[in-house]
Amino acid sequence: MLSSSGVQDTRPGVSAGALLDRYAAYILIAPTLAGVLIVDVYPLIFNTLISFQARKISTAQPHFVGLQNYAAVILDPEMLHSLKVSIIFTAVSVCFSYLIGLLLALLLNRPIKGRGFLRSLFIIPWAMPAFVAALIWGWMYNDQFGIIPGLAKGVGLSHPPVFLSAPCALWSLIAVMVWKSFPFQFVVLLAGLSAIDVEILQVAEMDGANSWQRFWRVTFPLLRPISMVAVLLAAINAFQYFPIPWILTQGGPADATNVVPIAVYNTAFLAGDFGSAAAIATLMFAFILVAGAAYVLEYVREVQQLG
Amino acid sequence: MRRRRILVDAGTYLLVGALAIMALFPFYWMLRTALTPIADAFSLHPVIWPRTVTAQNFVRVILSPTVPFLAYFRNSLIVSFATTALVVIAGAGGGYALARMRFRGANAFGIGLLLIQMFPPVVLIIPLFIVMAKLRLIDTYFGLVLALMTFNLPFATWLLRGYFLSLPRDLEDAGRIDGCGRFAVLFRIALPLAAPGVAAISTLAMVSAWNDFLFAFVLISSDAKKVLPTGLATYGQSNNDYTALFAMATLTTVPIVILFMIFQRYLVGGLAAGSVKA
Repeated sequence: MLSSSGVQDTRPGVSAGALLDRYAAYILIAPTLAGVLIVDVYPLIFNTLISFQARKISTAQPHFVGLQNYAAVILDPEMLHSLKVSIIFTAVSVCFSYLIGLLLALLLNRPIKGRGFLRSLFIIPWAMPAFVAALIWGWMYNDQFGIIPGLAKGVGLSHPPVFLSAPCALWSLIAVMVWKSFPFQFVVLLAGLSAIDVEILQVAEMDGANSWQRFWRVTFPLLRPISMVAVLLAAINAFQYFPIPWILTQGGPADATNVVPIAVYNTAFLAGDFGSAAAIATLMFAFILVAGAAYVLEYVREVQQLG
Repeated sequence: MRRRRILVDAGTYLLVGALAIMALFPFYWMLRTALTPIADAFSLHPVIWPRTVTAQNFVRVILSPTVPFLAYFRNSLIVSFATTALVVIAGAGGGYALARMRFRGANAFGIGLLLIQMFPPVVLIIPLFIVMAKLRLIDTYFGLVLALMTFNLPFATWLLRGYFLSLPRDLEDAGRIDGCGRFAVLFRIALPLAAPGVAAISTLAMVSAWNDFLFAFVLISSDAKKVLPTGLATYGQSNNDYTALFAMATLTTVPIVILFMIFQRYLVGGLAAGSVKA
């Protein structure tokens, strides 16, 4: 390995060039480090600070109120409702996108013609900007002119449900999220599948394992580590996802789809209560960190067990 | 055996075909709405195939002075190019240092970059809004660019680190032995070698800046400075002009989808590197 010091460094300070070389690593990371400190780390700390303040969009002098915002947020039944909606939105959409992604990865891992082409076709929902996806699905769900109610009428439902109204809205959003996020699972799982040594499967086949057994005893256990990473990333993404719920329903009707990110937005910018909104955001981040850490620990434990 | 194989293949195609229709239908429906006359789009009995096809919606969104599409498009270009330039210039240095040099705190810095990419945007939006209001950066391109760096800077740096790691280091070592300084090696040897990766990662950063909704929604208030995501969402809510809306959406989406499809393998590669090496 090269160390960060070159030959000249035995006589430090001899020339500007040598000095430059000696601190090259620090000079090179300085812009990135400064950037993330200013735009990421500082706002994160500031957000935590705001969460301990009584701070409205209109107040000139915010003051420290300790845990008051947190207490108010935790005791607020609407927040509990938002958390519930977010958990349903995240769990169901991740679950279905994983299953569809896995099925598709297994299908396209077979040596069939045109799989390269098919593989890129299935990336399209992932590649579409979220706001376009939300706009187009909103139009497809439209209760008067939408194609989805239209098709429902076509197959004999004389009164199809209004997809973005109260009992259906959350499930309609989840369907959009599944559609938007299954390609990620598919691509990652296909990469995982193609990394599996074919010989292991051939040995299993020679030992008389049928394809069902080969999947559950060989393929799936080997896919577990990468599956857990993909599911974790997808869950973090879904839990904090803003554009699709916002554009489609803005949290409505009557809070039915009021996921936590929308609650943060509404509390901050519609109600103008920065202190409470920052507390919700901090709790949300803490929730992601704790759930993510528990999950990672479980993952590490499994990897160690597998040896 | 052969027959069984043909049957399994046919079943595979059937299932893949059904999934493909579901995956692509919204994209098709966007094109179909954009390509039909207004009267056809607002049919109470919508049908899958259009009766007539027209390009008039595209002409309208580009030429009509009442549809601000070109202004939104220009704003999006300015913001996403500026964001990309800043994060790739900074990230190339940071990524190279992480990949090739040993320095105190290198591991912590690398893991930090991975973690920061997971920061939920709503955790950053309130402090960013307050600070930018103080600095009078609300409703400016520069303010939005700074906000877009929150994700894109660690993202680009991390991917660039992965790309530099994937390059053979022999040439750089030879350069060092021949007496080149650290920076000469970076600028004359490593960066030219990394050009394809830098291009791909720049594109991914651009796509991500181009698609952002939340930051643009909170930080840009005047219509003249809106970017495509917020501009189109507002247009969709305030006009029931769906044919124009989806003509604009098509023009926004098609180039991005093509670029994303070309370069997404770097994303998955970066992900694999992140999950294996971190």
